[in-house]
Amino acid sequence: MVTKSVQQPGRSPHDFLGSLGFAALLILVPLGAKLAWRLGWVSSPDLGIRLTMALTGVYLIFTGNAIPKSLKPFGCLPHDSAEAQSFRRFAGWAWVLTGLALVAVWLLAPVAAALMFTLTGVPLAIALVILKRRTLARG
Amino acid sequence: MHRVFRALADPTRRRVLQLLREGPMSAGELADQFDVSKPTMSAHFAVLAEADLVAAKKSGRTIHYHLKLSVLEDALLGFAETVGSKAPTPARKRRTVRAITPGRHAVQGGR
Repeated sequence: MVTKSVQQPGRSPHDFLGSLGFAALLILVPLGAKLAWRLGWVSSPDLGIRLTMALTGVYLIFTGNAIPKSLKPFGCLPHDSAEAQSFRRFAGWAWVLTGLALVAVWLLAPVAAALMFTLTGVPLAIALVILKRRTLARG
Repeated sequence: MHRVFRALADPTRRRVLQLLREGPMSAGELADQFDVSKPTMSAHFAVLAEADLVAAKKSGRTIHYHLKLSVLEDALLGFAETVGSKAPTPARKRRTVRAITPGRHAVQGGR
């Protein structure tokens, strides 16, 4: 049987420029925060790391949001598409919720607590996605 | 984004997306769940495809539709389902949905 995909997702130059801009932001924001602290404009020496980690959370939100849409829709897993679709949705939601939590803790919680969440919450989300993938692989 | 809101504004299109959450379905199977004409269903599919909420895969003469929602669009759909009106589903077709949904893996038939 001949199978033809009617729509195929693609990467546009706009996506590339967006990624480049975000990378620049990740470098410039902590540098700016450090400079502001050195000049005495801000009192918290943690501002740089807080903003950097919050931006990392924003990055997770953006990538997670796009996961169900941008992963190859057909045949990305060696199973039927219903399961592949379920996996993409799970991975996307896991990533977005982790990103939202990361932003919240790094902007609101004490640094030690935020660090603890980063070291446990993010690996937990990754482990859950891998576990889901393995569950599908066995099924 | 206005295309997404336009697509989600209609209860029939939202119902189509709900059905596709269970897994890919053929155009024929989807159309069987509604009391609307086939050209009208085709127009609904076109709006959903234009908003990039579904992906279409052609196998021979059958078109299978897959869900293609970002997390934000998924959340918007959930919100619209909560506050919006529901698409009318005939009783005999509700039975068909229940018969198709549990444990469905491969979709056969359709148009």
